[in-house]
Amino acid sequence: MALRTKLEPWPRPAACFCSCLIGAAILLFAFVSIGDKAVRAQPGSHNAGRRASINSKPASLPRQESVPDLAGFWEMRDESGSGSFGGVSEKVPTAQVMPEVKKFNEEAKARQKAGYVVSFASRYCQYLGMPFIMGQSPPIDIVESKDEILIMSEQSSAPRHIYTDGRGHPDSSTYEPTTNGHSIGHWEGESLVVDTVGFNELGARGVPGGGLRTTTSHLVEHFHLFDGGKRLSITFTWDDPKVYLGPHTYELRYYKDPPGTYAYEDFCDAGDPAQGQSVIPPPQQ
Amino acid sequence: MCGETRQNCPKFKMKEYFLGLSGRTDRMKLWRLSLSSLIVALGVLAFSNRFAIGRSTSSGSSPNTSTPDLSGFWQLKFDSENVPRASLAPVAAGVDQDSQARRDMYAIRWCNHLGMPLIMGVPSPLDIRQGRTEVAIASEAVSAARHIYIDGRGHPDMNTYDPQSNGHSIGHWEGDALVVDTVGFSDRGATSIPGGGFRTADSQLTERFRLLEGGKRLSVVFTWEDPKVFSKPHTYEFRYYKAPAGTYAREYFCDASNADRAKFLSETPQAVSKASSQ
Repeated sequence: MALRTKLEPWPRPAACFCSCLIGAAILLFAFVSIGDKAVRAQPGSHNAGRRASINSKPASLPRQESVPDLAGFWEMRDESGSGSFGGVSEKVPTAQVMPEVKKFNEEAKARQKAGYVVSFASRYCQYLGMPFIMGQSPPIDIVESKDEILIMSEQSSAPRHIYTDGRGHPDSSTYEPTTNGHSIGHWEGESLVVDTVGFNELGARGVPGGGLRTTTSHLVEHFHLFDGGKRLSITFTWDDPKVYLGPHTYELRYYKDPPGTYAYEDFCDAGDPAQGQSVIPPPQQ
Repeated sequence: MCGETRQNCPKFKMKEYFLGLSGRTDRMKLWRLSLSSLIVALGVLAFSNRFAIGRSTSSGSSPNTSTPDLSGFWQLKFDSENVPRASLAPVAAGVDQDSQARRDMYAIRWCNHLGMPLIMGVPSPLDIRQGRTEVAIASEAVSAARHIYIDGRGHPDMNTYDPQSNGHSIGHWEGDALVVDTVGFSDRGATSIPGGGFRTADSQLTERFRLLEGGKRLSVVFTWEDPKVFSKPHTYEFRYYKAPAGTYAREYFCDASNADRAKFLSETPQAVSKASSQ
């Protein structure tokens, strides 16, 4: 009734009708808005902060239009024209690392130059883990469910489990470290921000640019679609007081594979003597 | 006169307004009745809209609101398996069981991808994630993940397909059941099938995934067909329990270079004599 105009007598049927109608409309709007916000604001809601999807959807498979959809097979290509797969990581800046890490890297390079090109982890079919699996030639397959995103590599590795249900990291005193660590994600606008801790030092632990994965490493990633959903950008930022002099950031960009793409299996048999050899036989020792 | 200060304004009485007890004209009562009906109708509309929005957004990015969501961590318990003995074809019945066991042990010893169907029957939970076009199943056992494509595609040309320990899986919904068809298996990894028999390049597996007990349980009915292995389709069922919210995946790190592990897996355990146990 507060909407009543100043000079009109109270009550007057026509005016009261208009007032009530407006009031009811406001009530209706407020109810719908509050209801909408109440649902969106639920802790851990998958919709919190998400915006319109930029992907199309198959008619037979309806999906939530309000969420970016990272799902699909994504692969890197040699955009620098290097003619080799090494070109995909050409733009990764050199990490500013501690002296002992620098020494470790120099020794590793010397071993490679001498012909030892197969890592111990690859020789014995170990899980290679992060960040190796995000930067190789086979595509990664991303499946996005309502409270977790799964990233699967074709290489020898456990999948990455990124929990998006609002949970935190588990207690580090009881968590058993893994090659992929423990990842939690949330949406900031159209970017999925993933925070990972709980790494171990097993598998392939080299970080592009010259770093190393250790038990004290902390990784933050920003996943972001661009070019109408045909491309995926992931910006990686590593922090580790044992390894870096400051945060080490680089970006990898992936192309979306066409519909119908399926996963291959890189079957690794450590009992096969050939597993210890490289494609290009190293100089005989 | 009813002015800005509301002096001389007739006092509004809510009870009288709605119940028509103020002694005003019938025309006024008609207006009130219409207004009351309108407000009630709008209120009902607002309520229905509110809950309609709640339904559409609370499901998150579930792949399809009309189909069940199988996503979650699922684990077997001691009462989860109903596995009858398989009827084996003569060739498979003649295979030495010890040699089959040694094949599986080799895969475990050398950190091979163990593959189907072993990974569906391990004690650690499976992580099933249902996306818009694919259902992925991740096992904590050493294995590639299972990729079940639900975008309507068929199997690839087997003349060019490179067989895998999990095969190539496509799925579709039949009512509330996800029906998965898998072909393209390799004969590598751990190939034994519960109840008898083993996976070969000719094997075909059909699975029906269905939620039970309001989503707390998951039934998977497996049916294997392979003319070289089974004399008739071999069917068994696993019923998984849903792990609580907050469950996370662990990683089994397989190290084939570990000498103690290799010794344990390759040597025959020594019998414990009565004398040594006393």
